[in-house]
Amino acid sequence: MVTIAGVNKHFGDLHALKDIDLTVDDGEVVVLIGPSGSGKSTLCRTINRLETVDSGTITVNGKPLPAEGRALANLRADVGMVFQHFNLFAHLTVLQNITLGPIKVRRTPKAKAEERARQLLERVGLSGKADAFPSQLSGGQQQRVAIARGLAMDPKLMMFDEPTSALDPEMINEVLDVMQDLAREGMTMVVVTHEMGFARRAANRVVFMADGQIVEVAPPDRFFDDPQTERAQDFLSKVMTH
Amino acid sequence: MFDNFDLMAEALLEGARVTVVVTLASYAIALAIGMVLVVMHVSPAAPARWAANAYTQLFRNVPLLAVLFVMYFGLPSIGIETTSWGVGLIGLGMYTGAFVGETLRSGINSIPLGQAEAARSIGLTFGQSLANVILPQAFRAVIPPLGSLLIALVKNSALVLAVGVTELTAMSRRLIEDDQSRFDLWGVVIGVTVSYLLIAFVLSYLVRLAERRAAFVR
Repeated sequence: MVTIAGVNKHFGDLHALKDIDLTVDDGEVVVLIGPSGSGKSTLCRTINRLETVDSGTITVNGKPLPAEGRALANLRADVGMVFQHFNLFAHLTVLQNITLGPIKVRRTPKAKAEERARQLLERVGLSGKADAFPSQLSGGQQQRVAIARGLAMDPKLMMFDEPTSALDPEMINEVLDVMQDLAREGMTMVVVTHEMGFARRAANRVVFMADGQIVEVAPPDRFFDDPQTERAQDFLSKVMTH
Repeated sequence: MFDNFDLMAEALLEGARVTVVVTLASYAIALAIGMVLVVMHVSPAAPARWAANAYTQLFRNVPLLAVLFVMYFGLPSIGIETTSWGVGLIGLGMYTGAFVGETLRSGINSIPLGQAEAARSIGLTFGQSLANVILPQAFRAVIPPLGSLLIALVKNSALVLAVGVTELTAMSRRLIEDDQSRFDLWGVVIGVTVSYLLIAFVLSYLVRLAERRAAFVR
């Protein structure tokens, strides 16, 4: 589904991504973890080219990422993205947020797009909120709408960039539950998160990054119970003490 | 003080009508120009940005009266026929358009980057993101300053008297300089002042309504 080969990226003097190689298979759930500033969000954002890369190649579904224009837009339509800060369109209702992409990009008739949007809202447990505006929802509700907005495009791949980092603690689980259902249904997912419990339960593979490099890749049980690298051992000892 | 009141009121009303027409028509032109400018300003094509910038600098930094004179007297000298109304509306519109463009640009800058990223991430093209996500929000964010531009335009519209459009100010001068001296100076001054105030109040009220209608919480 996704092949990343030899990718490098700089922000000024900062070498944010160093020779990254990573593949994500169909139906696989890959969870990226690591300390802040390790490059995991940046890596996630390069996959739909919200960040450009300095060198290396990224292919999605066998095709190299287009540089710009309509071809890039078409690719992005197939790759759902959920952001840390939800980024729901503030001037549109929940229903309009979900139907905008299908109507404008997929040319789905409005009635059909709305019907599908209502199904998705039910699936994320928000059937009553179709006509609400984003600002009227809690963070957890907004993030579930954002997931529905991504799913409405029938994406081949869903990416989550720290989807629960901006949420109050009691709202984290309602979002993780939706994500876990998705994973169980076979959606291909790339998830950047600090939720170790989610990584352990839902991931097929855990990718541990530090200082712009992929340090360790392993199935979750092995990674959490028996990390091989010193950097990963150090990281886990700091985050798993509670 | 209000000698020949009916006659004066009739004349001022006609002047006020012209002022309102000139204001609204040139504002429509300014909005259209401003919209084009702001799209050029945020365009990925560098020449479009340069052109928008050049236009803005030119029309923002040249006095409106000079713009009107250059168009009214300059264009015919290079073979382009002009009319008073044409120069008045287009000159006012082009001048105000530069300010509308800058106002809309500040509106776009006030929209969080995440809105554009989300728009791109669902597959909207650059134009679709602008039209469906960025501009609608930017526009709502700048309704108050756009309203100020409209009020300023009411007053700037007086300058079109210099190219021969008989709007409110031109009409009042005509009354004051009436060859039969039928009108008192102070009566006309008060009449024209009240007329401008009324026009501005009504437009301010409409802007306030639009602001309330378009309000949304971020």
